[in-house]
Amino acid sequence: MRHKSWSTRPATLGMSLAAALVLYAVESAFPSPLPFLRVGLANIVTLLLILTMGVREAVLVTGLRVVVASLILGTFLGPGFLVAIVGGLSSAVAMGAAARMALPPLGVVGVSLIGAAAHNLAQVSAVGWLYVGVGPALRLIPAALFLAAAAGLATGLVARFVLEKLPPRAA
Amino acid sequence: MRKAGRFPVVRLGGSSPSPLLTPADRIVLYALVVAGLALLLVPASGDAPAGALIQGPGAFVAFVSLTEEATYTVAGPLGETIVEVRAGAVRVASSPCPHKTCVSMGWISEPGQTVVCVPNGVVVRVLGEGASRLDATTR
Repeated sequence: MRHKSWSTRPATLGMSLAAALVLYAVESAFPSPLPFLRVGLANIVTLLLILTMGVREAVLVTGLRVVVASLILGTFLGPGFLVAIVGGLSSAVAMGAAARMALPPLGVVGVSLIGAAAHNLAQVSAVGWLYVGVGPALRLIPAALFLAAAAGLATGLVARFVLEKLPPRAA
Repeated sequence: MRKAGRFPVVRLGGSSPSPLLTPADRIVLYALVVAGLALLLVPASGDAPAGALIQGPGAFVAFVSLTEEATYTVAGPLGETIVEVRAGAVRVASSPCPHKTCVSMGWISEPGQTVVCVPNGVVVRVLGEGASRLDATTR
């Protein structure tokens, strides 16, 4: 069962989108070794939505986040946009599948790690396919995996602490 | 009103009794790091060893692997042009032509790079479609 109220659901989704955009903006301020590999702070929101609302809501907010951010930054349908949306949606779908199939053995951090790995691998694949070619992209995979391990751990722990702070009736 | 999140394992509110990382979480974490390390150790095998094509004014054509170390002498109308291959690069070491433009081009190693000695009719071109530091080349 989803929410009974027809008003709290859109409100929660809107607030989630706003929070995801803020995290995305904060993250953009940090320098990155590669322009498309990011820590994925906005994945915190995706993960929380999967755990509290559902996979469809998480995919929706993630897609909207990338589109709205690209409209603000002026990169809509630009070179980075495709890479960003492929990474974001892959991460949301992978985390949704991991949560549905393996959440009892896995914890929140494990789901987050899988999402981060899917995010980075999908982005490297997209970059390789669209721009630099398969060979150079293969050499990015180790860096993508290391970054995914660190980022997934960090975002998973943050998501856990946020979940503990959420009141039981909220979300 | 709902009891908890979608997933009974995830508790909303209150401290959770489960550890921060479950054993399965640790396995996923270690698997990512180990996979990254393993892929680092795999040598980049995508690039075939680069080769070069040496053409003279007559029928002389030589395919040269850039992994070897050798010198080739190409006969032309002005005399002998000496092409040197060493350390993955190739150059015209000496030429009988008046301006020595081909010699001053120096070493070339990137696919698509070319040294031409017009007076003596010698062309040296690095072959291959492998990774290049150039965005694109036209020929």
